[in-house]
This record gives sequence, structure tokens and C-alpha cells, in this order.
Amino acid sequence: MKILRLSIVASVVALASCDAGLPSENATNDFIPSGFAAPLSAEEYDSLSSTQKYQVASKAAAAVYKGIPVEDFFDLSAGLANPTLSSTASTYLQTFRSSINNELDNATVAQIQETLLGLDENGNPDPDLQKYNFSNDGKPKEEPYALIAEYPASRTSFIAAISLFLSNTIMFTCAEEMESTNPNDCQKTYSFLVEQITNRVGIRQIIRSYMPSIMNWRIGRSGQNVGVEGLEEFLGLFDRAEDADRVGIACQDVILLPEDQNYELSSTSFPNTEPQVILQEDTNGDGIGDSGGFFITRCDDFYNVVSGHPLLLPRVCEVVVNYMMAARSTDDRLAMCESLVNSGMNTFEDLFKGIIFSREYLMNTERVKGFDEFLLPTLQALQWDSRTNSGSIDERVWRNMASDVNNPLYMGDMAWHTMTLKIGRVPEVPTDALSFANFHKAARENVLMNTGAYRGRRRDVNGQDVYLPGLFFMSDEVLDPTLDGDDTEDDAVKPDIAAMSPADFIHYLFLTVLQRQATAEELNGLLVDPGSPILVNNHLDQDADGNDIIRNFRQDDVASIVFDYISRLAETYYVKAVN
Amino acid sequence: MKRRAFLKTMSASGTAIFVPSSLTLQSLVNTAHAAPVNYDAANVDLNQLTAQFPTLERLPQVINIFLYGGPSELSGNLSVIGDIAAASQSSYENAIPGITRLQNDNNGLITPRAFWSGAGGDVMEFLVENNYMSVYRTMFKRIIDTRSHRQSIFQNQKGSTDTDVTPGIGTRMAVVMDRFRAAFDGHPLLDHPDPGIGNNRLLSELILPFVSFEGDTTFFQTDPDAVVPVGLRFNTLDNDFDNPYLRDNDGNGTELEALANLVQSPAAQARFQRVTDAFTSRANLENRIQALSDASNQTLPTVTEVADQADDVDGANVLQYPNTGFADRLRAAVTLAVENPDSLFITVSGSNGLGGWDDHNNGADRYPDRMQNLFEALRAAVKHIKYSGTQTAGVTQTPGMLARRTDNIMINVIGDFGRRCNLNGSIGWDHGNCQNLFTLGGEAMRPAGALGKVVGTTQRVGTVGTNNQVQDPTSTSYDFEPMALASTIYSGVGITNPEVLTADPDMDPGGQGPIDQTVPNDQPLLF
Repeated sequence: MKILRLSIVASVVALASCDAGLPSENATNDFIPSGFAAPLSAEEYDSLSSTQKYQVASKAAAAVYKGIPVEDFFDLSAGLANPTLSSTASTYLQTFRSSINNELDNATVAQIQETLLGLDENGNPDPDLQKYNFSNDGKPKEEPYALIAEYPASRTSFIAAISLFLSNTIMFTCAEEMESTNPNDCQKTYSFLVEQITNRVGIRQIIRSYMPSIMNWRIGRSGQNVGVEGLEEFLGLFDRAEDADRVGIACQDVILLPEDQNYELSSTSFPNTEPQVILQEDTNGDGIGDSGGFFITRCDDFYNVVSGHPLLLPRVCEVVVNYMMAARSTDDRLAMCESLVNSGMNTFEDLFKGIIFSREYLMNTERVKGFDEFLLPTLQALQWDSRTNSGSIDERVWRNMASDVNNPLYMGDMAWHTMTLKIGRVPEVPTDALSFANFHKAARENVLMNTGAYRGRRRDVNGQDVYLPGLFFMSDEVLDPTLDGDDTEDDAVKPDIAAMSPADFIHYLFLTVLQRQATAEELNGLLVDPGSPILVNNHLDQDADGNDIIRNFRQDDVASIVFDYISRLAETYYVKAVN
Repeated sequence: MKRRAFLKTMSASGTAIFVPSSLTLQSLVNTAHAAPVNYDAANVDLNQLTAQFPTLERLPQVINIFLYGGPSELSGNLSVIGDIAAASQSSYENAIPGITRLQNDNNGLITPRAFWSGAGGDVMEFLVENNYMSVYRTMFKRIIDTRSHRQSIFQNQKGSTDTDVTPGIGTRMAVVMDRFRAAFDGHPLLDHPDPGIGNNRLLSELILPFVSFEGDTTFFQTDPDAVVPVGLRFNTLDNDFDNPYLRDNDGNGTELEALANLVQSPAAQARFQRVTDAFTSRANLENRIQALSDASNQTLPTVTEVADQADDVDGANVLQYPNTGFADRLRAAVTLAVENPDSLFITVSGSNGLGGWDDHNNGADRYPDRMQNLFEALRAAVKHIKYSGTQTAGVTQTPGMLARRTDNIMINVIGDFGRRCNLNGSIGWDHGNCQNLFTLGGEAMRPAGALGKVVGTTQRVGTVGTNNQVQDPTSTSYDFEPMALASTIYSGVGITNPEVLTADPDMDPGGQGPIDQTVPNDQPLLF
């Protein structure tokens, strides 16, 4: 490749900020942007109220599909109106960032794989032993969710999450909806991203490797269209028809075979020999390129131009920021990308960490959540266990949401398909009446009001009687070891929950899903108003001192009412600003 | 220099090294966006509409089918296929045997009107022959000749070359109707055939006037400079009229909803506006969908005219749609239009997802079947409309038991763009420009002679043996911009100067007027 003009290349790598900010314990290897993307500092985090700290921590974790149970963050015995942090909460953000900088050890990964694959005593997969049930065709779309849910916070889980995110963008979608693609392309694209990012390969090199792949060609299909889409997706250059034609000529020897030859990628023995000029600038505004540009003769030259182009990193950043900061102004999104690129962003880990830990994201960004972004963190905060086998969030939860068109969790009905659409997910979560009605219905009826899935209960798991602890209940044998060995493990209310006043219990539920306490108006409506379903259904009692308490073992009934209420609040469906 | 050209120059300049070009452009356009749609310059006169079209009983209803990805125009235009095939890089006859021969010549595929038999062409012949449809072969972008999906979809669905931060066609309609509501309130064109709903209605009383069967869509892209009242905002429905708007296990609903409404202050509603609006739509639709669902479960009409009793009726001549996903969507859209006369603008995706017609490959095998399925569904749709309306002899009511004329229901079919006519190495077609408009039904809102013809003539242009060969309008042919279709739709609701809604201050200050539906047939019968 001969580069005609290099004048637009001005390599600026900003120095990392002297204030490394809160998150990094390993600043030499960690990406700390400055300017608009600067991380929330330790001082800023320390200055927040306890509840705000929980909001910030939960927001960071949710960005990679993780949730934080209230009892992990607060000392429940101190009440929740003005909560006291648990011993680890004051440094949660630091700890979280440290976690996602460190990979899981092989033994842990192997153990999780064993859980997912359901290996028997001989090491062979046994579907009956699998923790989750996957569909045959949809497995590539379902397994990433299972992995993200099972991996503890770590670099491993972080890379799984951002690879899934990228697989849902126009840049790396496997476009399963297209005739020329198949589910295996989804698996290959996702695995490619995980492997490359894990090996710390830079964004430019990843895109250079991806462009000639069969996954990309099955979407582009012709040389001309690989040109069109390469310029649009990776450089943000639209309306470059003449350039795309020249790419088509340079790629004339690369051919995607037709359906009856399984859409294999092939080539001829007649490559182009005449250099083509692309990406010339139109200096006089007449619509015709007249200055600079790049010579390309073969398809590889085009890949090199794109992956080495100055617009590549800003465009990649733009695609991701358009999702993560969807409701922010264009100027703000622009400032975020300028800041990240000028700070030397090089890898996808840099990009996502730069956004997620930035002050602007954590404190000031507010946008609608995608359903998966709601579901996974909420399930974790609810202390859900799929083996409770309750409704749609049972062992089939991931296939229900990713693949099963007849299930109420199916994200396609929310216009939030995973690894399906040729253009990837649209940046702003769809809130048209139908899409949102499906989101609301799934969240309300299949998750929040499905208390059996997270209350804590005894279940038969693979032929064994197991007590699965949850949000309210635990095994009585844990509380009273003298019961160990009796025939059954029965429900006992967790001591901290049992000791809560009704108001604190309501706060507990609000914090779990909304990351805020109930307001005085809400407490009045739920606990004082005579028409409140909690009172009408007689869920309150009084202790020996005459204080109101939640009637024993009615915690799940109260939760069903409170979560029904919360599901009716618009804010439930938002990633919220903390400021 | 035009404003947009200037902005593009700026975005490509050296200052943009670390800035995504689209973001830079967007940023500049946002700043420069000082010319919002000039709604107030519109003029609305429903009386003029009824004077022009005396049989028009109520406001026109438009079903707009968009073929995402941009279909090849060849299914509806093989008029110069001989020249195209001779100049193509890949052999047409090898890929599609018979494509260059007339139907009466050894199993050729060219129909009398130069449609593609096997790619919907025989159905097109039926539809044109029986005055159900006209085909315009020269919908052509001259002002901005973009071949990008994104820009083309924006241009076609916003009805303007000004696509940056601008509203969709449905939004433009809604805003004008709201601003000129006095022209609509109480007008007989808003009368409803259901006596329980009745006459002398206000614009704000229309039920589901704007509906998408494709989820969120650019057709209803909002306008940052104009507010659409809740009653005129678009809603989304699914094929089966499923009712996810209905809450199950809602025994505590009254109390909890009251508390939620009490707690969510105007400030909170504004803060969470998008979801607040979605909740409002949910509540509005909760009970209305059931009636539509009931209507959709009724038996389809009986086809009584002999000429129509072919292929898509059962033994008792009851109409049947093909068993395809698209037919399900179209049936739902037609059911909505027929059973809810207030639905004025309905959008339907002509593919299962974006990109369905983007045939860079598979031109020979997948495209013809897909086009055939499309037209078989359209044939059922026009019969569904015809045999539901009292304008047809012997018909007294719709399947949902409304006594109404249905000849105000029009269907339009377009896509992103046409494609190149060169068959590429993957036996497909890359992006082009000139495309077909298929327009069906709506006799009561069209001038005489508007249906039953083929308009527009094309020629192959481009270097023989290269990929960049397309069909362009001939120098004497009638052609029109995509914005003309938007303008036609606007004129249907009584907007007498629709070009003001399609204007672009920089690229097209005068805007585009409606399609001239009086242009005569251009396609002589080939045999």
C-alpha cells in the first residue's frame, strides 16, 4: 500500500493524568484518561452519601451486567433510612476495578465450565446436570449470558461482557437474521473477540483481523459492499459510493460463494492489478475528491487503510459511547471520545473502562436500560438462583431471553435482539409502545413479582435436597445447627430481615431494585394508607412491644406488592444519574 | 457552497483527526440546524379534498410497506434486460435461465408488461390488468444521489433531503394536523361508521391514527422543535394483536397505580419522559387491542367476482393470505385499516429485519421467491380491502361488522433504493438508485386513470463489463424524487401545499410536490 498523503496523521498520545483517580491500584498497566473522561476520584467517591455510593457502585457493576445485593453493601442491622456501609463498601469501586483487571485462575474457570456443561463423574457432558438449559441453535447467543452470570467479577467476566456488547453493535454483529449467516458465525465472532481482547490485542489489530474473516464477508457478501460497510462501520464515512466501487475492484478476486456452496469464502486467480485511489478529500466542495487519498490494489490494502486510519479509533469510540451515553448531548459524547482518544486509548478494555469509571458516566449519565442490562444485575441483587425453577427465570432463562420467540422474556419482542440484526442494536433502547410493553410485562410479571425465584427455598437439584438461600429466607439449619440432620430444611427468615421495621424492609426492597430508599410519600402509601394492599392483606403484625413488624414469612408477599409498585415507575427502567 | 457540502468539508478537514466524522458533522449540524420544518406554512383544506374526490367518505388511510435493504427493481422492470444481460459481468442466463426471453418464447420469464415471472411478475400483471395497482419505474434521487442504506432510509422515511435531526413523515403529518386541528374538528371526513363512536368528532378523538408494525421507525422520528400531542403519537402493534399492554395479576393495580401517579411529579415525568410516554401508550392500548384482536379473528371476506377467484381463496371462495411472516404482518395492517378507520398512516416492514432485501448475493435463488411471496400477499391484501367495503357490490360490512367504504385505503411499497443491474461475482446486485414504486388501492383518493398502468422508462448506463452499471430514467421519462411520495401522502390529509413539508433550505428549497398520477402508461404490451 502506498500512502499518498500523511498530513492528516498527527499522533497525539496524551499523558495519563497525574491524578490516577480512584480506581487503579495498578496504574502502570491501567488506562486512566484525562479531561472529560477522567475517572471519578477517590475524594469524590468519599464525599458521596452512603446511598449515592451504592448507586455509583451499582451503576459501574451493571455496566458489565453485575448487581450488588444490598446486604453486601450495607450493615443491615443499622437500619436503611440512613444506611451504614459494610466493611468493604467504602472501597467498592477500587476493589471492583482491581477485580476486572485480574483474570480468574484456571481452576475457577474449569469449575464454572463444569457447572455450565454439567459434566458427569467421567467428565462427559450430561444435560441433566447442567445448571442452565441451552437451545441447540441459539446456544452461541445464550452461553455468554450464562458465563457472565457465573463468572465472579474479574477480567474474565469483564471481557465476556464487553465482547457480548460488541457483538451487538454494527461493527461486530453476526447478523443471524441474514440468509448468508448462521449461528456458528455468532459463536466464532464472540470467541474471536474474547480471545483477541484477552490477549491484549489492540483495536486496530482486531479490526484488521476481523475484516477479511468469513464472518464479515457473510454480512458484506460482495467486494463493493464490504467497502461500503467497512467505511461506514469502522470509519463512520457514509456516502462514499465511488470509494466503495474502487474497493470492489480491489477485492474482485474475493468471492462469497452462493447458498448451495454454503456461503464459503473463496477467491479467483485473477486479482486486480490496477491501483485504485480511495478516500480523497474534496477540497473545493464540488463533491469530487481531488486531494490526498490512499492507493489500494488488493483487498488487503483496503483492510490496512481502514485499520490504520486516523478515524478508526474515534469511530469505534463513537459507536460504543452512543450506547453507553445515549441520552447525552452530541457535544458530550464527542467530548468523551476526544478525551479517550487523546488519552491514548488503544484497546477495547481501555475504551470500556474509560467510559464506565468516568465521572461523567457514573454521576451524570442517564438513559433507558436494555432488558439484559436490567435483568442480570437485578437477578444478582435479588440473590436469585435459577435452580429454584420458578417461571421463566428458571434453568432456561438465557434461552428464554435470547432465543425463544414464544417466551415473555424474549428480547426480540422488545426490539433488543441479541446477535441478530444486521445493523446491531440501535443505540437508544426502543421505547415504542409495543417494545416497552413487553419489557415492562417481563420485568414485572416474570422477574420482580416472581418471588419464588429469589425468596430462598428448598429444592430438588439433580436428585438432592438443597436449600437455595435468597433475599429473605434461609435454611433453618443454618440458624439452628441442632436441627441439622432432621428430615427437611425449612424456611427461616434471615435474622437481619426479621429484625427490620416495615419501613426498613420497604427501603431494603427499594434499594435492591432502584438503588434508593422509598420516599416519605411512598412509605405512607404503602404502610399507612388504609387502602394499601399490604394493610388490606394483613401482612403487618405487632411485636411484643407493640411495634409494627412484617408478619413472619410474609416478606415475599410484601415484596410482590412493593415490586409491583416499583415496576410501574418509569425510573425503574433507567440507568440513572447520581447528581 | 451549500450548507451541507460545507459541513462535510469541515468534517473531513484536518481538524477532525481525532473526531468521528459523523459526530463532528452531527455536532455542526446541531449547531447549524436553524431551519426547522416550516409547518405553519402549510395549508389544510379538507373541503377541497372532498370536492376533488367526491366518493371519498373519510380521511385517506395509507399502509406504507418498506423493503429494507433496497430490492432490485428487476422484478418490476425487465424492459431493457437484453442490454443489461449483455453488459453484465456475470451471466444472467446462466444464473436465471429464461430471464432474457418473453414468456411466450420457450419458458421465458418476461411477462407482457416486462415484469419478472416467478418474481411476483404474474401477480403484478393481475394487479395492473385489474386496476388494483400502478407501477412507477422511475423513483429516482437526483438531488442527493446517495447509495448508503442509512442516508437513503432517512431520506425516504423523512421525506426530505435534510435528514439530520429532522422528523419522519408520520411526525410531520401529525404536527401539521395538530396545528391545523380546526380544519379537522367536526369535519365529516372524521365521521366514524360505528354508531357508538359517531360523527362530529374532534381530531383529538381519533383512535390509533399512527401505527407501526415494525417497532420504532424513522417514519416516526420525533421533531426536536415540535411537540406531538399524545393522541397523535404513533403506537406499535404486533401481527397477532397480542396484548402485552394488559397486566396480569393486577389485583392491586388500582391502589398501586394511584400511588405511582401521585409520586411521579411533573419533573420526574419530564426526567424519565421516554418511558413515561410508553406507560401512557400502554394504558391507552390496554383495552383497545382486544377489539382489534377480536376483529382479526373473524373469517376473511368471501370473494365474489370471478376474475378474483383464483389462487388465494378456499373452496368456498373465502379469501386466504399466504402462509408467510410478511403476509401475517400485512394482514394485520389491513385488518387495522379496515376495522379502524382512524388509522391514517400505518408502516409495515417488508422483511423480517433490516437488510432483508440487500441482495448483494442470492440474486438468482432467494430474491425471486421473496418477491413472489410479497406480491401474493399484496394480492390478498387488495382483495381483503375490496371485499370488506360497501363500495363493492354485495358487501354490507367488514369482517368486524363496520358498514363503511374501504376505497380510501392505499398501499405503497418502496425500499431504500434500487440496485445496480450488473450481476456481480456473488450473483447479486450492489447498491443503486432508480427504484420502483408499487402503489395499490385507494381509488377514492386518486384521479381518474391513476391505477392500472406502468409509468416510467429506463435505460442501462455504465461501462460494459464493470460493476457500476445501473438503470436510470431515459431523458424523456417521467421521474420523481422519493420526497414526492411523502408529498402525495400529505396531500391525502388535505394539505394543499405539501412541498413545504419536504423542503430542504439548502438542497431543495422549493420542496417536492406530489406524484403526478395522471401521467399515462409507458409500457406497451410486449405480446
